[in-house]
Amino acid sequence: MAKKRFNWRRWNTAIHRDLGYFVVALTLIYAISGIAVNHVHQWNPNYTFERTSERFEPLEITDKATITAQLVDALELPGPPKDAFRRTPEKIELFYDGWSVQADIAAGTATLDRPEERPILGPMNYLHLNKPKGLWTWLADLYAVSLILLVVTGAIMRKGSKGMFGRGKWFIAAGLVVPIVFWLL
Amino acid sequence: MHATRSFALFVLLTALLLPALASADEQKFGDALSEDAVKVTIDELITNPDAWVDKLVRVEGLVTDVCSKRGCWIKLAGEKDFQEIRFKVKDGVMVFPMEAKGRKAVAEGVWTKFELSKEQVIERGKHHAEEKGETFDESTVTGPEVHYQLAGKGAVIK
Repeated sequence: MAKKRFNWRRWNTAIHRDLGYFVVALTLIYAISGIAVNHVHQWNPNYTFERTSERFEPLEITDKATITAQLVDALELPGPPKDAFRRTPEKIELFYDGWSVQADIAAGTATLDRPEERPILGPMNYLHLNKPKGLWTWLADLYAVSLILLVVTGAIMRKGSKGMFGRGKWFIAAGLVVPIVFWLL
Repeated sequence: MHATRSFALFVLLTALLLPALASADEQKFGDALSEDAVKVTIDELITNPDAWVDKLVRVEGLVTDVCSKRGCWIKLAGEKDFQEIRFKVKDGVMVFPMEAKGRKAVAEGVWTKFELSKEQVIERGKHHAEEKGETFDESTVTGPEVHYQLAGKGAVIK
């Protein structure tokens, strides 16, 4: 009985295909979040802010407790805040669960600030920026190894003129030139 | 059979991931709090800043502000009015959520001194304003400044 020859190319294709399917979700998470956080200078990728401005009769500059109580009345806030902080004699911030009020009691102006995490991008950035740490760090490492495997299995998948040693080498070289140019510039 | 095995693998990985995604009431960031840190009040750091430079200190205070874009710093206030310090970490080392604002925190780090030129003060002001989506008025900067902040090692948001 003839011994069946090990077909490494078949295994290579299977690994590339199934690993590719497996990392679809993670790749989308990292890629979409990557674009989002790349432009952190132009926008806030994690939060949106619901801000409303209010005006009230200026208050006398006294102690924190008195100012807080007067401000709660003046702005008709839903009860006393969890905490308060005076940044300057005129400026005070009241903290509620998930929102805050910044007021200038001399000018009689206030801003109600309610940050909301972006519903899809927020969790994506949470994972991409490795906020969970611990186990997620290892899973992210495993994902990175998977990408290396995908690249290697993809590169050696085809043989002949369309393989890595055919036209593939020129694409690899072109892809290498881009980071080198940016590194040297 | 193959489909069943793949599904079982998917369920296993999801089960492993879920605990990592769950958030606890008390959130820990960075290194665990160390026994070597000296407990000090924010008032003491602000009153005698030079006495604590390059020392590992632990403070407790109210989180009055959070870097909304990168979560790379928080501001902590002590018991007294007008006293606030900045707890800064390298981008990505710790990422503080906006929800930390208004909560109490215990933070540990090295008290660090920066002597900034007028240009550096302007640059810093612009950077902070940009993070908040605000504009910065350069005319408010009158000259060089000495700035102190905690170089963050670890923190617990309560």
